[in-house]
Amino acid sequence: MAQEAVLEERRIVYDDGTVRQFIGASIVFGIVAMAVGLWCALELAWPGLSFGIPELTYSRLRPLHTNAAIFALVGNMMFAGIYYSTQRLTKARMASDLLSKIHFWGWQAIIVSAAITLPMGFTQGKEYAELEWPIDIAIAVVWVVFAVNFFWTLAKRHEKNLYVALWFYIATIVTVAVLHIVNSFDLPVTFFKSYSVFAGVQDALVQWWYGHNAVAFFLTTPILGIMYYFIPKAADRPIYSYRLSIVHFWALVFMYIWAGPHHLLFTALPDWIQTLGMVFSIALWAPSWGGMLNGLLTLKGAWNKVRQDPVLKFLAAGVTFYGMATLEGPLLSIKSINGLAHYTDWIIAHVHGGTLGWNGLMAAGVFYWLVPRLYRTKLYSKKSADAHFWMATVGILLYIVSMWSAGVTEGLMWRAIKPDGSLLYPNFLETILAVRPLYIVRAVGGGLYLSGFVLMGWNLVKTALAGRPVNGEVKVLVEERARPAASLPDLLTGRPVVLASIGVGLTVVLGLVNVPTAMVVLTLLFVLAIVVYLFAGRQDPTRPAWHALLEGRPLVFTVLTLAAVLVGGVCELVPTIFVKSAVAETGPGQQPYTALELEGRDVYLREGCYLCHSQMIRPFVSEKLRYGDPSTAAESRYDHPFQWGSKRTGPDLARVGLKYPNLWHYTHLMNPRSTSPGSIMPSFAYLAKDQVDLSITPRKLEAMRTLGVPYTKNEIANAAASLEAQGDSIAKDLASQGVKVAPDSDLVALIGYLQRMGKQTQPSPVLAASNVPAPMRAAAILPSGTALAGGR
Amino acid sequence: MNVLAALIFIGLVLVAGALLLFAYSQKSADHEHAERLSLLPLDEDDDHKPE
Repeated sequence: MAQEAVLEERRIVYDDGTVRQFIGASIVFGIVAMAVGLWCALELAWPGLSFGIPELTYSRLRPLHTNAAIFALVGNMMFAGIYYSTQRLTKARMASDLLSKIHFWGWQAIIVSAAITLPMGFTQGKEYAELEWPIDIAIAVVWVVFAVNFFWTLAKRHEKNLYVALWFYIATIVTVAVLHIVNSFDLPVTFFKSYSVFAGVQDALVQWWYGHNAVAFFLTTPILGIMYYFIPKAADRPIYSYRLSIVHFWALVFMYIWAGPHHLLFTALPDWIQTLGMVFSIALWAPSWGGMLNGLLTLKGAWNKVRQDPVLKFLAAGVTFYGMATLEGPLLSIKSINGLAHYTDWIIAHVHGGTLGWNGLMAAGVFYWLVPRLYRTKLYSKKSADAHFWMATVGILLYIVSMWSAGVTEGLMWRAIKPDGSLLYPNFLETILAVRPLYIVRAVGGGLYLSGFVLMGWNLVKTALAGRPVNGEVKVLVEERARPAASLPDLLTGRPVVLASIGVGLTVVLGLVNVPTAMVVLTLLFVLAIVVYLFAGRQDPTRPAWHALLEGRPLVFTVLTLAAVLVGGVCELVPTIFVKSAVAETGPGQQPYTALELEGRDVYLREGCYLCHSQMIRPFVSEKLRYGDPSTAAESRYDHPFQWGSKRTGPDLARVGLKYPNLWHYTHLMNPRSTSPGSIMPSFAYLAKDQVDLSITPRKLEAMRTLGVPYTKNEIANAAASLEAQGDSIAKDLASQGVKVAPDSDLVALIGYLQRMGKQTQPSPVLAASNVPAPMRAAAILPSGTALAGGR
Repeated sequence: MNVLAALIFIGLVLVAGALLLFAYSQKSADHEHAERLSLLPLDEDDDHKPE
């Protein structure tokens, strides 16, 4: 029996106050993030700018810059865009004002916590995931609050189908939650210190699975959602192709998650994962450009507006930079190109093309469009917005071109070999001296971009002051009759789900049979598909399409999105973590660090040394000549967290142990330019005054033992004594050469760690050289009678 | 077997499969809702435009 539809008119008042708050926070923290970035850039050109102050040291400030740019500038911008568009696309106010407030203030509290703890050196030592475990928990809680508020809003929506922007928001919310939780598995030692539960190869894979997909699902998918809403809005025309957006969405979320290993090409990561990462990275080009073209072609017929409207200028340029970055990314994932570009400033150019070009310009376009509407006025100065556009564009170009040039220069100089087979530039400092002028150009470009951003802040503040805050309102007709819901079996047995499942199953089966059989099976299946196509009838036009049904069921949509995202992660992570044979360990395995070396390693983490020095020698002739034998998986099996690094602003340190005497390290750390003229490394003289906290050393060893490092109970019980004994041996060595330093200082601990690098498969050499009593040596995992080393 | 031949074959099958799926999707005419939804962002608030 047909039900009568009862229509009721309701007035919806949107919560735009939260949108205004997120915009304000994004601009303020954006200025901070870029100012810190500019300071870092200046420090790389003039290292004395850290003034010997620990909190101003480049390697402590860089994580603050990256975290602030990602989570404060883009994060707040993303939330502003999501809150504004979600309410309009669902015709519903955000479900809970309280949750919106908790989300906003909770997120800002996290950012402030990061701004305080990172310069103080509290870090997990994993790029873009540096924040210590209490803040990690806070992030998870606030993210859940956001998710509940968002999905609750979807549940009470007054628009049946979810528009494409909302799909991207769903993918963002579920995937970021998965990434953050898995990569944050760690074991706390104190309130501000923890160790990753993963080590070596496994930790590297998890970290870059997270790191790459933080780019994908924090910096890309939400901004694509924003693009799908705000470009049609600003251009006053519908998106170019809704069908293309469906293909764009599903292909992108499925493929992105596989691409993380392209950050680890030529490392000790198993070759099969490297190949998977490279193939999917190249394939990603297609959906990425599908999205870019969909955005740009929406402007078809409206290009005259782009010339006049600053909003469209920013949005069009932002999408263009997205296209450039997503072409460059696959290019850099090709092994032969990666071999040249990895560890160089080319990667810095690439990420800034994405962040400043794609994220930054999109943020500006959205803010210039939103603020006048949120304050019911007009933009204070269009000329100023135009000036901002050109400052930003020229700033990015200066930045990117200088870093491209620096990157190619570094890559070529590192690998250059003379006819006699020796390195053409054996001293790493030659590269530094060659690219330093480009670092100055980069700082000029960054400064210009920052100035434009400040100009925008001023323009928007003047705009807001000229108007008054208003909340959007809309009248909706609500149908009281219960909507006939799409049946779950219909959705789960829809053709796309069935075909995708067959595809995944088939891939597994074909992978298990030999190549000729697989080719025959594929050919037969292709013929079968043609037959099905020829005989399949047209769908009943009165029946809604499968995707239309899916767009009406957010929960099922979310589950299918999660499934599409998880496939890649599961295929790469599960074998690597749980199947021993998936990671071939060749050569001798790593032996545990002594207590002093472990403390020294924590100093290395705290000071952010991994941000400029890799510990991963690639299997290239030039790298073997410069650094020694290629690194193996077994050599870092106890490294919680791994320290392979991603950038070589300084040389690789994987085999630096015993290459220089203790005195050289002391002198170099106190004043890098005294041993290495032209070095841009900051001074770490303050480490000579800081002392290791011996009271927590045994707990650190205990935590490592819990994570699988084979420390004995005796070694843990004698950790402090062992540390003092080994520290004393280094201090005495230094004292014999006229240098006085406390044996339990951070500096001595760091020297102990540096002298062990590359020697992890052998017992501690520094301790062996000492006159430490035999019982203490045993406590420090040292077989008696080990040959003299002592850093000579 | 030469891996290059296998890769080219698999690549061709994937491209042909994608074309077939595209044609099938066109034939099924299963995106009738797209036109209305693509206009959704263009809805304006009742009283929420810049002056």
